[in-house]
Amino acid sequence: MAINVNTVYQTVLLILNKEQRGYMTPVEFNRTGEQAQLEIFETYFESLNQQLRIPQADADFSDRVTTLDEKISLFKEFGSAISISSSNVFNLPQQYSGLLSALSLTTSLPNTGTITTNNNATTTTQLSLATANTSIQVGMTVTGVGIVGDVTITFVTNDQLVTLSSAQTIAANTSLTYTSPLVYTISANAAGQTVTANQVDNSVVEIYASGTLVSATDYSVSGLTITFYVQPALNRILTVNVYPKQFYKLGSSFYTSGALPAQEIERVDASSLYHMLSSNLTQPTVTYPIYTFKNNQLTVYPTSITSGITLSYMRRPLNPVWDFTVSNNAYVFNPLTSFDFELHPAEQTELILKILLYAGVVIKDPQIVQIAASQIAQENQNQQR
Amino acid sequence: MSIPNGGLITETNRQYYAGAQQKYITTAGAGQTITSTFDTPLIFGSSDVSNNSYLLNSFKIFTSPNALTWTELTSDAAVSTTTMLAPAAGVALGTSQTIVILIANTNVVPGMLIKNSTGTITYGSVTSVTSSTTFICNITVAIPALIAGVALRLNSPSPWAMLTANIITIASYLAANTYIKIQLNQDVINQNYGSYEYTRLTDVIDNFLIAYVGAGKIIPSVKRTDVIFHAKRGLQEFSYDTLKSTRSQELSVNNALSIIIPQDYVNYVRLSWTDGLGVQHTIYPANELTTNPSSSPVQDSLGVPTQDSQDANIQGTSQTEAAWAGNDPRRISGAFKREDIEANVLINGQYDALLGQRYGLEPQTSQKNGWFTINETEGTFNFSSELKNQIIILEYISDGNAYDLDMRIPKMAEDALYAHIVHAIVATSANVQEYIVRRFKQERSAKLRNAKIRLSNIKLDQIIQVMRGKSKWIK
Repeated sequence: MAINVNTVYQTVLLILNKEQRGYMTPVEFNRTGEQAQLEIFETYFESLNQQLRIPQADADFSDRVTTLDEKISLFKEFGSAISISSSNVFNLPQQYSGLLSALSLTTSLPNTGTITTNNNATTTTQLSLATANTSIQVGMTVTGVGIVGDVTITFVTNDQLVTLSSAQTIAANTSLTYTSPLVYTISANAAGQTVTANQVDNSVVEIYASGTLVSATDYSVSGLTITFYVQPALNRILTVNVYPKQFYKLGSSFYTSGALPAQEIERVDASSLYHMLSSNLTQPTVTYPIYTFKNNQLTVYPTSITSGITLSYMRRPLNPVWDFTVSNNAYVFNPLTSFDFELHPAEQTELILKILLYAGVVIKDPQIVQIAASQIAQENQNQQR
Repeated sequence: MSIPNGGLITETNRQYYAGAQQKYITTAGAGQTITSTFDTPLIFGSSDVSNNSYLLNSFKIFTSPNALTWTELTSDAAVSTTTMLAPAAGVALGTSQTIVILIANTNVVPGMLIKNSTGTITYGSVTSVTSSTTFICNITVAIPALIAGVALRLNSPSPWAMLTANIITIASYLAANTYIKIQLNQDVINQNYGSYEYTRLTDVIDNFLIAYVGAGKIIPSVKRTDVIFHAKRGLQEFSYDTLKSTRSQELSVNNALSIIIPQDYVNYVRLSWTDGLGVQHTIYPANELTTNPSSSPVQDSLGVPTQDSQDANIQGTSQTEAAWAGNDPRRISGAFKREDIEANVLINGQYDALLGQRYGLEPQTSQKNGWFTINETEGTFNFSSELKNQIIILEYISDGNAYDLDMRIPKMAEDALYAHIVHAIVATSANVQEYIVRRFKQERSAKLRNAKIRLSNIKLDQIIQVMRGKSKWIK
């Protein structure tokens, strides 16, 4: 769920051209798009606070608190806080810095095909092929006549002698089907760039299959492992883009110890900390721990807590990128290296209006600014009435 | 219903009644875990019986091949102990010595100590297992060249451990199709019996935050610390006059005629001595008869207290206390000898002899059970002399906050505690209209009254039994 960056850019250009107001370059669009997106994102929290104080209509699609929460939920995250030197001081979930541009980490080729056994029948784990096949790899599953159970390739010698995971009785000259596994490991890209499992866990991941964005519902990512629910099409090159998440706001914090129920950690300020630590009734315990938040670090009390801290936090939306290649002196949209607006699709209209407003400033046209501003004001008024 | 199915009961019948939870081992191997789902958190000290911390454990671990015959898993238990044939050539000292045995042994796991067959010499420990016949060992005492076939004894000093709360990791090798069991100690089982009568304070606090606090409610937001404070204070207040939280200790009065005030004491309910039939006889406070002075400064000839080298008054011995301890209480009470009367024995001869001769007694002091005073300076209960060496029952109340297990409220009074917390919070919040505060004040009062009536345990049968006396003839 996102707002397509190309749709927004083309709409903005269309309106500008229709009004004969001039042209907005991709660089200008990316900067103003980033600004507009953040501006809309910032309004969510004040609006939510305002709406929480107003009785809401308990009906589908009309509860403004629920609607706002739906928009905010796109940026809600959970992560483990990392203890500094096994102390009660914790860093926020790993925020890895670096360019916001994509890391292209190419996985192995997912493929499927057929192999044919040679003139010898087998009753062991060894399978000789009639001809060598460079596509077969360890981990692939094999199915066909004679194969019983879940059988995978455990070893390949000279692209022709295949070792199976269990002994099978297979007749001579039998045609078998091999299929790539549904699980892939993110490896280094061509430029030698790598990511760690922790970095991937704390990033937004996009997967392209030969340039086409794979739906996020078709796979899950855990650490460096990608598990597909739907087998990618034959001979597609998988490109994994990893965009680091940027911390924005701290939400609730939890402490988990073994199999005991998780406990929420209460945030306290420095002025009340010392009173609480010396109070006999309210001093923090492992059942009711507290923390102070300073310099992007949590200090948890009681000090015996040195692990098991999980945080819910809000991340910033990633900056939109309308990237291009140049062809015949024209900008051609490149989806592989572009990145959509992360806002809820319901924000598309306001987003375009805000970019148009900034476009009016960029091209120094007060009329555009006025029209856009008036439209935005009208929309806000409707939302908060 | 034997299996918890979403209700408030979360323990199985076996967990509650037998204090046991077992797991079937489907796959053989070391390092398997069993997660406790008891309501009571497990307490772990050590799994090594020779370690003093073993006594801290609130449970034991048992293994069984059939779930019928159970053996405690200790460092000497069959599962954590095994034998292997020592290499004939012996093994030299070294941190990564390889030992190859003739007969495969799957019971060997890293961490096991290598000893001679009698267990008197420890040669080292297993650091890793390469295969069921080859092990990498840290040898600190050279294994001498032995005749092939002499066995070495290996055991896990700590066959299991609780590395994280309530998750037990079994270091020993467990065979497939066997069972492992957590067995709570009997005192822990007893503490859990009847616990459904109560709601834990932590649950009260969590439930309160869910049900009473939030947008659109009377309390839109509150610090959890405030709720904890008011909940604990409420529990304290309820403990004094509403809850059945009376504690008691059976003590013997020493020659100094005193007993120490219990650690969690807040106030006494009753002190009594017990006779040979185990019947209690109430001991009364000395009140106006005597007292324990908080200080007895030594005075000079002019009556001015004297000081020591540290500028503090020199304290003497209380003459009042000494006189009280040495007196014959019968001279105050005019009582019979206490020994002559037990609960079901009335020696009429004694009474008959004195019939008509005991006019003018002071009723307040006319009792034969003895007196006590509370010495606040020394933190003791002091008794009159006839109670020396007697068995005393001290019934007292605590405040419900002394120990973790105390922090629970009878379900009969749970609603009263919610009402107490909500009233305390609105009463101390700014910008809350006075009529709202009053509403919750009344609600608290009404619910507390209900709780007291419920907890007073007045049963119809008991009232009927008492009322049967109404038809008794008074001669």
